[in-house]
Amino acid sequence: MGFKHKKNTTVKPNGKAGRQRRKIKHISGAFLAPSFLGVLAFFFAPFLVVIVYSVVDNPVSMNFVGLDNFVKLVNNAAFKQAVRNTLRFSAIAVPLAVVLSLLLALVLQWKIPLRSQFRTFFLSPMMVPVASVVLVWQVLFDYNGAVNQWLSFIGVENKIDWLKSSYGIIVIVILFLWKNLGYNMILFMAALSNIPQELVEVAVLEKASQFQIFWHVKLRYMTSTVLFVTIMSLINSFKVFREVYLLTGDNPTDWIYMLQHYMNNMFRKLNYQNLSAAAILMSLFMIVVIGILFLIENYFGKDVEG
Amino acid sequence: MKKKTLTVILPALLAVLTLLFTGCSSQSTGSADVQDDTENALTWVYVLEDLDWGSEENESENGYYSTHGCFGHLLLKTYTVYGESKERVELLVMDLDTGSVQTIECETGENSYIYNAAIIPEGDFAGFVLLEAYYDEETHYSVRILDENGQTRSVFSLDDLMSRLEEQNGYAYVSDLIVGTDGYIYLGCDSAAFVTDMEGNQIAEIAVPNWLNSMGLSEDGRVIATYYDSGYQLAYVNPDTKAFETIDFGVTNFDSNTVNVLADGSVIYGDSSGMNMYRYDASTGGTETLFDWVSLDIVGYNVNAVYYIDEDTMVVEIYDYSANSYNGNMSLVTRKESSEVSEKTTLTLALFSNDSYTQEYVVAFNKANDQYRIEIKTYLDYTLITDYNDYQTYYDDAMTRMQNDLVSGDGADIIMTGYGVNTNTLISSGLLEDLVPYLDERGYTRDQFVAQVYDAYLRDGKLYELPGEFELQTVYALSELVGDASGWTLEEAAEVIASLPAGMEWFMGETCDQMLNTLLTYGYTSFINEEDHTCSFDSEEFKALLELAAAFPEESNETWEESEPTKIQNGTLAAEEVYIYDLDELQLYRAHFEGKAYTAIGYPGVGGNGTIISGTGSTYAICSKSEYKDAAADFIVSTLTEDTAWGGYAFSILQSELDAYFAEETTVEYALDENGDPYLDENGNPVLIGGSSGIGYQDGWEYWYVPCTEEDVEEFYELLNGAVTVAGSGNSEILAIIEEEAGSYFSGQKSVDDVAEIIQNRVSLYLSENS
Repeated sequence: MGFKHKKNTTVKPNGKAGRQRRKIKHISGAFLAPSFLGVLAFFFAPFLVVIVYSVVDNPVSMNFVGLDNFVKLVNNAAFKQAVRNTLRFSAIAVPLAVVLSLLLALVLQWKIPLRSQFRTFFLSPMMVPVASVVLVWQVLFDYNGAVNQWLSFIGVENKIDWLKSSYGIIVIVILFLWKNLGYNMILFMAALSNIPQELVEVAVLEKASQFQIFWHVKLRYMTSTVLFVTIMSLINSFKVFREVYLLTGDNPTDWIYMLQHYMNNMFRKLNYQNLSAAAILMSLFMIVVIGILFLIENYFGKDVEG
Repeated sequence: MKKKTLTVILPALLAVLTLLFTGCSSQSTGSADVQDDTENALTWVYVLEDLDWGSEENESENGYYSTHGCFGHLLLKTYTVYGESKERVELLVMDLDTGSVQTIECETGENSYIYNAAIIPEGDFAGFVLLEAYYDEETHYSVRILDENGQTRSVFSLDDLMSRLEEQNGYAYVSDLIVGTDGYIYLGCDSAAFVTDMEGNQIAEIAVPNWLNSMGLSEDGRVIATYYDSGYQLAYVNPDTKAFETIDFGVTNFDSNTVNVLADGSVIYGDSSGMNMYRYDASTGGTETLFDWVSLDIVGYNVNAVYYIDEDTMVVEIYDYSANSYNGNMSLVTRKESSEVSEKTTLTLALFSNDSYTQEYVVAFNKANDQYRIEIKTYLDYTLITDYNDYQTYYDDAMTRMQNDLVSGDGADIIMTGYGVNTNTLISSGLLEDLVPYLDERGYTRDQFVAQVYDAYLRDGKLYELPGEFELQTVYALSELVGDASGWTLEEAAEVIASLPAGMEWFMGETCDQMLNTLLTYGYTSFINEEDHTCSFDSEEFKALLELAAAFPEESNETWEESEPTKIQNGTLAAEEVYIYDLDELQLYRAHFEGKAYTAIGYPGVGGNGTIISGTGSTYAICSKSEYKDAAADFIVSTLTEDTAWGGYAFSILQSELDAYFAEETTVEYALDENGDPYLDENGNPVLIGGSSGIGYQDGWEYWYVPCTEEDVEEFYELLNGAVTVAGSGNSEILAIIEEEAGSYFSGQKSVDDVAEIIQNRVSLYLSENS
């Protein structure tokens, strides 16, 4: 309805007001131009190049092959394994990252001793270079590493090959959580502090339980933050390759072979057509998932955004 | 979307896309592209000019020239003429300002030779200092001071100094001689710089931490030296403080012979890999590339010294080592406006890492070609690696840059393959051109080549790369163990090695890693099904191989006190890997097995007779994106010809040259006396021309080579005819996975089943990527 009203009142500006509006438009355009061109040059145009590469036989001869690369890709065992692993990892790691960071944020809302130290502690992984993190993880989870030594102390006889067995996914999930919990927690803490206190107080007066207050008030108000944290965690889960690569190299076992392993290896082999097709499929998947998340946010959070 | 918005977005998008694709598809189209790199090069280019000494043509077979460098604007050479003994020495002084050359016959010591010479920078031309030496059971050095007419003013001996150094270091020699503007003589003696006055009185002795490398004069007349101390250091030599005053310009891997210090403290220097000359600007702290040697048609490794004259001029001293010439030649490098220099179309040769032979080929091609010139683009410059712990990062970065350049079409016209470049990847991406039509067009059909090598390099009927030379790699083993057949399977090899007699080892000092490598370098394909991209590294056969390799020690316990031939003769060694790069090697390995029947069994699992063809020298390919494929093919053909071949280390791939080599090797010529009769040695045997040569091993075993025979040639062809594989054509990534995982089995950390399972898992995934 508002849109219709707006449309009816839109008349061609003239006179002084019109000139001023045009001036504002030009100035805002000038301010927007660098970002706009940057997005065009570094995001949009490269993506167009990726689309071109995805429908040619190779980047040298550039013969158009339609969707052949996509067909080959979805039939490729390595690609399918990478997709399975990445989805499985995201399905485990993203909910854990959201839930655990939310719990931590709630805990740190209470007046507990050393609260700020805890907050700093959880943020510290963000300041540590990935290479150092990986080094620590290697020391911990190597076949002869610290974790296996600890396990032997408590009587576990058989060593676990953490990085080259099905346990690998656990190592990567722990690494992912360790790296991302702090950031998510800060976002949730900020969202919690923005919840109107009068609503919470009313709920308390109405004799609502702590769980009811959390579920029906706090979580409802934090829907957009939950969505944002979920999207960021999902994106980060797709980028966990960096850590896995540093831990296991180009050709890991199939338990921790991620989508970006496949892409990185295609890049090394100059197979840009498969790489591009995989990138496009991954983008489409992300668009669909994020779209669904927006729908969820729209459904649960519309009344609080009012 | 509003029409007005579209009119803004579309042009912007078009502009961005245009810029993007222009960047992607730009092609090297001549020297202008090269010169875009620096603002300096846009206007200026450096060119090489010969210096006319006038008297070079008078060089007789009894005389030789020696270059001694540049002193201000004067260049100095000596010309020594020998009769039965030394007859005379001439000093040749060229004035760079006028181009005139003055020849001065000079006095020298009897029986001594001129080791070094310098001009005394007193006024324009005041005299000379000679460093002379003669050998009388030991080398005696002396310094002779000459006036401008070559007459002796004074002579002083360095015997006392040499005795002291001999006592101190166990050796003594003088390598450098410089006369400073302070009138002192500076001598470089490996461990120290010595400063004396003209009478030989020692003024200073300045020790260096490791060794002194070179000495010279700065633009303002001060004496400079380079020495090694955790990298090369540059310093002024100060006789007053008796110390080196370090000149820190942030580089420690420069070529010490090319360093020049300017009056303002700036430094002109070349890199140690012989690629480029640089200028460090003391006022800004920045460094710019002045030129690369190849652009001057000079092989950088042949540059012996560079002397800075002024902003537009340098003198360069070049030794042509490839021509076996040890007589330096001085030329001028002058800076000119680029418009003054005729332009050629430039081709780019992509080189993964520095290669002196490629420099030689390129310089030869550039000199001979009026229309095209080749520039070298090196991706992995070792001189830039400051910490070799980061080598893999440098390597990966270089490889990524090279591949990206090649794919974008901005990389190269010619690619040097090998040395880390994955040819298979380049071929599968369509980046390499089939050489066959280009070679055919130039008269180099399959018939001109050694057919077995040519065929071994063919892939699906196409030839993407070709080496200049080749050698054969195989395995010789006792026939009593391996039988008479050539070529064997992995299972057969495993069976023989597992059942060796007690006290006998397979290869000398073989470790478990080496054994695995021997078995699998070419044999790993037995466990791979190329058609359906599957593998069977979890099979019992593969586990048996791992167990076999594990039976060998992790660390070699070989003392190397006995040589391989001795061990073979003693019955404690069963086999050895042999590398046949000339007929003498065939003889040598045959002698290793003297008196024992042996079989060229080759590497297991290879096919054919198990022998491997290994391309040596530089191997080139043409980039399919090149606009100048014909010129690139001309270059590749030029590297095959005898004139530019890189020294005949191994067998030529051209059949005619191989035939000529065999004909020469099997022709026996004896040294004849004046009557035409052969000279006889102490045993009464005729003396061969060229004498005889031999080889001795650590335990005293020795072999004297004899003239090659037709049987040697037949033996070579027998090996060659069964060779079907090219060295390095295996998949290094699969081998790396196997070696990495097998290590934990060899060290006892994991069971053979666990390791085989992990290898199977990883290799399967790797193979499925390519399906």
